[in-house]
Amino acid sequence: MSAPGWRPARGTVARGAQLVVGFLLVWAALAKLGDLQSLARDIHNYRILPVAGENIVAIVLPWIELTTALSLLLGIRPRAGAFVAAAILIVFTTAVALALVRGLSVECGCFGTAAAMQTGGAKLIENLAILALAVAGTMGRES
Amino acid sequence: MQMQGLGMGGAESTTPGIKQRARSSLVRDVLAIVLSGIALGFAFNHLELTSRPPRGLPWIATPRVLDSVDSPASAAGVPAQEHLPPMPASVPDTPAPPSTVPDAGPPHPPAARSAEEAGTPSSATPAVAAAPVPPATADSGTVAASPLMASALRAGLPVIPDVGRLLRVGLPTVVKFVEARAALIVDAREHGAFADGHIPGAVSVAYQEAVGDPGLLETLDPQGRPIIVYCSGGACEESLMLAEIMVRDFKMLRVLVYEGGFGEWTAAGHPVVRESE
Repeated sequence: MSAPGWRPARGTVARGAQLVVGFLLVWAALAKLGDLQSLARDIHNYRILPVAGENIVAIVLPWIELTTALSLLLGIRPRAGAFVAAAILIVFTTAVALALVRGLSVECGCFGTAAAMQTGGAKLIENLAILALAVAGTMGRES
Repeated sequence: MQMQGLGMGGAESTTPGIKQRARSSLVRDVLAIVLSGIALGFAFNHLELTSRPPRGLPWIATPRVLDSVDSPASAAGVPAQEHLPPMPASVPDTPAPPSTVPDAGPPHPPAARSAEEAGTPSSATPAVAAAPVPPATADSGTVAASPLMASALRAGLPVIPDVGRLLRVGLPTVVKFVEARAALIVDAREHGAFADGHIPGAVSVAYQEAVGDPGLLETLDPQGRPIIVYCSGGACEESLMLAEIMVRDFKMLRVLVYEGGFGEWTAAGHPVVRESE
């Protein structure tokens, strides 16, 4: 695993993954911030959280995504940002999987209402792909 | 442990003490990112809530329960007659039975807003803005004069007021409307499910398609009748979400959600129409 040339390549791959995930998170965060009401409704439709806590999640989630994205894009503690991104994506993927298992066809809410997409197999695969990128982003060096 | 397993870049050859410091530094950084996001979220929402007009989300969400058109009007503390639209001269003076008088709920400012935004004539909107519950709007004024509404009243159907928000409707009322063809029934499920069976007289407007192409909803013409939207029933959300789009984006009036949906309809043994029939 420590063959010559692997570490620099791993660092480049990790940095590339961090940038891609960072851009996706900026997009997701800004789309959500544009319509918090819809985000709260989308969270409600998943029927995972207690109703009383849905708004709090809708209030803080886009900002956590945004700070994570800034960390990744600006290279400020990007490895920590990649870990947060991976954690966020694990939560999202679990929510989509649960919706799928329970037969719910709801608006994903992942990128706000601008790119409305229903939960389903395609969304699950998309989330897993981004999760893989976020995990790749954790492999880099801390700057 | 997981962090260590994922690798620390160049830290693999360092001493355990340095690894430990790197790990605690990583945890600190993760917490800093998350907590700063939370702090920004709270600050932003606080600013939004204190702005004029307030735009933020309430800190605590309240369960969203639609008022029912089937529940007694007394629940809202409004005399039943206030819910009824004006009767046109051409319609026999047969008000709906008290048991079917809709529960229009408490005063609701968005009703007035939506009427204004919809561009309804000002001669009709004062009633909307001033009355505790709008007895009629410009739209329902014309509705009351329509033959469809007259026949609905004669059939003893509940009068559905325009309260500028969604109401839910139960199976017995849906049956009456379907039998009298006094409402536009909209099936929000996917086309395949609609083809396999739907409520007689229903039109298919799949929610998923309507989200991608909102123009689909422009083609709907309720002809002055209330609109009843349904999906599969149970946990399905398509009817509620489609109805929300109708009211919010298209300013449609008197939109009802049949929460029991197609599941309840078929379970009760009511007739079903299939595409091939």
